[in-house]
Amino acid sequence: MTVRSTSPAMRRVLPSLLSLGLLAGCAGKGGDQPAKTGGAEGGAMARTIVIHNQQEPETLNGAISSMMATVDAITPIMSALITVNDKMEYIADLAETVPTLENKGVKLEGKGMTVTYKLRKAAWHDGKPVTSDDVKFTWQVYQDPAVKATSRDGYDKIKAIDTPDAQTVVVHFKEIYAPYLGLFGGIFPRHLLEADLKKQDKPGDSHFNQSAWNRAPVGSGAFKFKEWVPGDHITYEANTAYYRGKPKIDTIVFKIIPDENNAYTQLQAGAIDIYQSAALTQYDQLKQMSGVVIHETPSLSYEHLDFNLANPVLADVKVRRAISMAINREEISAKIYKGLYKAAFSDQSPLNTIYYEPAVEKLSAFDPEGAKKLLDEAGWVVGEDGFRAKGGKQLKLGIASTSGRKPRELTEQVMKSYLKAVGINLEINNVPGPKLFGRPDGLLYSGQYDLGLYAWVSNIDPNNIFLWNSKQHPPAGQNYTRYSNPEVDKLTEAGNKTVNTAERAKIYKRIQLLLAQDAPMMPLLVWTTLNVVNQRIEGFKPNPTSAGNLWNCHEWSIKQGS
Amino acid sequence: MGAYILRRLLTSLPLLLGVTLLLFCIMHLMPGGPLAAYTQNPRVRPEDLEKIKHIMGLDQPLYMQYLYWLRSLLTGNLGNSLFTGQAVTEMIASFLPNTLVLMGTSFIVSLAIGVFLGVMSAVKQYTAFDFGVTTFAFIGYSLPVFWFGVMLLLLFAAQLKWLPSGGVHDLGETGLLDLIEHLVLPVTMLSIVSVASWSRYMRSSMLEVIRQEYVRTARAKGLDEFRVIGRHAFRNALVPVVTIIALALPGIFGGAIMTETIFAWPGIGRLFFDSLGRSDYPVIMAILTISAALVVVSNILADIAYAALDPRIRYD
Repeated sequence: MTVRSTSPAMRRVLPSLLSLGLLAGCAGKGGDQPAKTGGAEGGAMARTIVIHNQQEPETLNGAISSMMATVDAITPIMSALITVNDKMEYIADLAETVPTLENKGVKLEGKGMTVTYKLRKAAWHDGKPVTSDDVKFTWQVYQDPAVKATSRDGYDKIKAIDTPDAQTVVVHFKEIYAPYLGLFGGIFPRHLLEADLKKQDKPGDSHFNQSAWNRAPVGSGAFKFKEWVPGDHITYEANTAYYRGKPKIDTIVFKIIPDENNAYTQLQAGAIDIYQSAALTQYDQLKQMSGVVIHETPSLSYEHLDFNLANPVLADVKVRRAISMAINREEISAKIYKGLYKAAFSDQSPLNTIYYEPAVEKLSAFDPEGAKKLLDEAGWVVGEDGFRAKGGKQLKLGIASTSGRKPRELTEQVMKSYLKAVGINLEINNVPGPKLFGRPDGLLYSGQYDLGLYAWVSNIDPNNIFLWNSKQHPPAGQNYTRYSNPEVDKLTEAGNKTVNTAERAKIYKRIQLLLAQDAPMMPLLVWTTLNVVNQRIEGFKPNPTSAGNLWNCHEWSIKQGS
Repeated sequence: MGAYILRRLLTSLPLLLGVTLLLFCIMHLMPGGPLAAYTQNPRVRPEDLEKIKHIMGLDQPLYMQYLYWLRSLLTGNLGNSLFTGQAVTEMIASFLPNTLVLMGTSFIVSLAIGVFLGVMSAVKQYTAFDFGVTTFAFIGYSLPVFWFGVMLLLLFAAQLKWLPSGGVHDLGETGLLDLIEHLVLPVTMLSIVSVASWSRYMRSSMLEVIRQEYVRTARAKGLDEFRVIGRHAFRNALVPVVTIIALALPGIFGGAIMTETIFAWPGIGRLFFDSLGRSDYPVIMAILTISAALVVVSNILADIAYAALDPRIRYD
């Protein structure tokens, strides 16, 4: 197979940011059946937009899905209380406003806090009104131990939900929970799912996990589910009663095309309008294609190099910083990623302007001479073979990544030569994805690695406690670098308890500076997503967050005369 | 004959049982497992993972998991997918028709062409026709199928735009003509190798038979060439080829992962591949077990076909 920059496995990484959610871009109010039967009949395809996806979602129930493909597939049908726009700002969806401390939507009460949402007048696609009770039901879904929820993170911080009237939701948190806006990414209809939730197919396994609704959902978004032809496509038709404005098109078809050459061909033939996450290897060809617009969007995913601090050699911060300074990000970007992936310096996305600390860029710049100096200081002396040694032991480190991914394998080759130039012997030991990421025997989890090269996904919410807090060392969490710094511990905990955005930003900027100094991880490159769109489509605004590219599908339109 | 078939079927049951046990063990040796899809996501906390594991039944000891699976097999429902929540039988049923259409067409087309080319090149041994077929067979057999499929796609769908690039139908179409248009490229991709190999088998088998004395006798009786070849030689030449054809039969069910991927054909091959990717154990087990059963059945069918083709072969 040709090289993919976004392998299926990696797409599954993003997976259920669902839980922290922000799924739906489109809240809804519907009721009347739309008159349109969809553009599916013969030539009447004029107002149909066909969007490509490489993977087929395994379910259309966002709570239990492990795949990114699901997010895109349910965005047209579901409503979130709050969603995120293409500029990475929270915007109100089913809620009337984004509740904050300033607008009194959030109130701190001793150790806990209360968040109040006012709902817009909206209806399920079967005509029943969407009420505050449905929001409460959504919380109950995540609370139910028999639901195969991907993550309950945040929902388990809720003590109770009051519904004083049909349009008001009052969420009482047990403790102050700063990432509260990420919750309630997809509201479930109580009247359609409660019976399934209560029924257990076998003890401890709710019928919610197998519900027929999961494959033919009735939501409240801008589009209604119409049909799902397994392995082929999913069709949605406009919800003409949608309150954020009647969609400007009649039908969205979500077409599953696993092969990138096929996607390319179908785009060229006009059989698909939007080719999502195109392969980087096709970049030059795609630039030649007429009639399409290429959107190059920075992604929230970034390549990085993990250092295992449990290794005595890497426990020395000088060695870690030396490695970081010896590697030239720009050159890797230009040589391996066609210059599309840009240098990364932080675990927070540069797009997340509120939280990103630009000062880290100077601290971790490419400086091979500086790297040599640090290694000298650390007592590693260059030997006759050009490699450094200390106490008769060569400075030799292994690097592990997912095998079979060409760009990463090339990156490792380049790194090997960078590190050789400063006297470090790098040995490449790649393994299949599951062997790297698995629990409990994966190399990262079990700590059997020196350097790890893979991707992480940041989020609009800056919470990174699971990466850097010392209580999160495996098996408790995913602090695979085994990093431990009392100040970072305090800050990561404080960050989740600080609701005021300005104060919170200070905390995360400080963490970024500390990470740049301690270098438990070297951020390498921010991914770029290529979305290629037929020029007849207007209003497509790629969204790097887990809201996905369909976040504003109700605003998409087709140019007149095409 | 009936007793023979029954005996064969009965003796194959313990064999199949052993196969399922073996498959189950091998499947669990694959690195990763169903939970791997979640482990890269930092927001899936260990306690979330424990709940998922419990609901999927993966916290049970392995032998219990196997016994549960066996019980569901005996009740005929094959269990539910760990990820889609659907009944496995339902999933297979929704992908199977597409696979049968694609594989069945390609089977018939390549059988017809392969057998015809094989017979003709044996009859016309060492002529230009024979050399042509031989050359074609070598090229066809050594083509990297994946590359060939992509080339077909890029040439006929992207460049010339003669044929659609993927799927079973265009959106909103259900007609037979539309289906045939969509079948041309994937069937060509699938058939090229089997035509190449079947024509070789047929040719060598035919060559052997043509030199037999009963063929000479038939000619001596004054039968026309068409009857000599068609009735006397061909029928006998088929016997060894039937084995090869029968062994290809289970493949009709299994689909073709590469072809289905390249041409976005929603078939069993892709279902299997996707399920393998996320270690969806019940789906993998179901597809493999059905395939194993079909191999057994095809072998029995081959034995029956021998008897039908060659009166000297009898089963008691």
